[in-house]
Amino acid sequence: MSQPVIQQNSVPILKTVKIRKPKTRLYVQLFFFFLVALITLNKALSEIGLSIPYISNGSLHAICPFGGVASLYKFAAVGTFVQKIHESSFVLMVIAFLLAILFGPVICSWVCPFGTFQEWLAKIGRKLFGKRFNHFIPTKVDSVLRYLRYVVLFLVLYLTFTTTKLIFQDVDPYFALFQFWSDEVALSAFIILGVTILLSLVIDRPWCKYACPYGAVLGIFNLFRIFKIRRAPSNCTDCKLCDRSCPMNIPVSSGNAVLNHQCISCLSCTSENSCPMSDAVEFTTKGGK
Amino acid sequence: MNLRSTHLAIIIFVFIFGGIALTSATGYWQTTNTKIPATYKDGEFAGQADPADIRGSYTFGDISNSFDIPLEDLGQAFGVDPERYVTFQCKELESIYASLEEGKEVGTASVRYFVALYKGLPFNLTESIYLPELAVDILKEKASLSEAEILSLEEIAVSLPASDNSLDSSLPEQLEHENVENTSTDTHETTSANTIKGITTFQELLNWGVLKEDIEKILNDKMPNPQKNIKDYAAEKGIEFSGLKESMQELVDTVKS
Repeated sequence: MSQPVIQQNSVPILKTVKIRKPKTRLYVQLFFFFLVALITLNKALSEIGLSIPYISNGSLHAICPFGGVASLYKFAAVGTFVQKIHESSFVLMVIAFLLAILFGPVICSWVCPFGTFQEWLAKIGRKLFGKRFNHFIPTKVDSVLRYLRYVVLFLVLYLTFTTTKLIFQDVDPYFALFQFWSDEVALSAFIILGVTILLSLVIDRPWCKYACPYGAVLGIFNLFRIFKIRRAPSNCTDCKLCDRSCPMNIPVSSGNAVLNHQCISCLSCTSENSCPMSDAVEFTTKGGK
Repeated sequence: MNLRSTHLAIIIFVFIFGGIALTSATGYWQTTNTKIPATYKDGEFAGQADPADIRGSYTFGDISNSFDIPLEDLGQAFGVDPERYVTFQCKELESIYASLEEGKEVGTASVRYFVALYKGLPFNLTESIYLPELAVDILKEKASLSEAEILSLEEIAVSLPASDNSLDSSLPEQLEHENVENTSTDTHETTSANTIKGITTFQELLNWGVLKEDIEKILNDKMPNPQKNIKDYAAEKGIEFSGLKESMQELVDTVKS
């Protein structure tokens, strides 16, 4: 059976590839989004004596791995967690770190329900703004703003260490989204959620790019993770489709491996998804096949 | 090694749910609090429950069990409805004491501090903590405190805002009842507002202008915790409430006149 051939700028095409993108990541995202929604609903139901069978009734904090990170100092110092954090947060933190050492921040792109929520809003944004979507902020400004999340991370950790309270809850849009009915949500969290929703219509994953402290932590693993997004220059036609498909605006085509701290390992840029060339952009170990 | 989406999806599921299964099997996976506070790791108090680990979700019943503090002391200290002593959660205090002036807060931290002082346990103060006046009174009476500690406690004592008397669930009905009476006639207002009933506390007598010394003369004893109901006091001491009420009412009427 003949394969379709894509020609661009008279660059010889070595091999051509697939027809449709796999939806595996979407299914995984949907699973975790609804799982978290069900758990938070079950938690609310449990307070009035009801429950959904086979679903945990833990709090949102109990199933958020960032709670483990925020508790690290107190755990090391006195062996306990900050308010509202339980052993489960710690376990999930360790799992997320193991995954990040191997594959980078897959928790952000495959599991985090707030990332999924922003991606859904991005679909509306793309329809509204077409190719301008996700390219409104000048590159120079954007590249500086990308480090803002490390400032947020520092502030959250510092304030959590000094107060031993879960300070982040008051500004956490993820908590506001999944607990909107609760009087535990601070006005500031609702405001940040509102701003994130609006920004998501013009920028892909604005919270992840500029403010998420947990994304900041996991992003560091991109520097030394084992599986990386690797580009084979010999197979590349320099069409830049990988660059355009990246929700985090990473110039994938400019290097042989993605080491950018913002990569979320969504695999959108790979030959399996966007790249028209097979074996040009892959998620591999060094020299791996 | 080259990974594709399906492989990565499977690995993510295996890691997450495998990790949860493994830690569940070992008993480490906990999504809710055990309601048993952590203990001091070293020093003189090693092995004892640490008040710093009291969480907002702890009930007064949990705290009473863990720290061996009478429920009544805890409940009275924070002005909680006696019917809810066992089930009252620390985090409920924040909303109940919401009308305190800005910057002052009575919440879980207050309970931690109260418990530490009550039991004479070490406590690291990292923020300004306020206690209800009743809690301070109980500490003065039952905890071993130095003069300096008592003075510092008086500085952080906050009185229960008038509207927050509703902590005792029986009070709203009483207040509502009194309000109805108050609106009927001015004359009636003065007589019904200062009438001793079953739920009248010693604090109310003081608020109406009765002197503590006069109350103690009638009781022939020290005045108990001001938040205590006169009726409860009478029952405890085996005194007939009607007689005590009559004597106290005379005091109230004398003040009025």
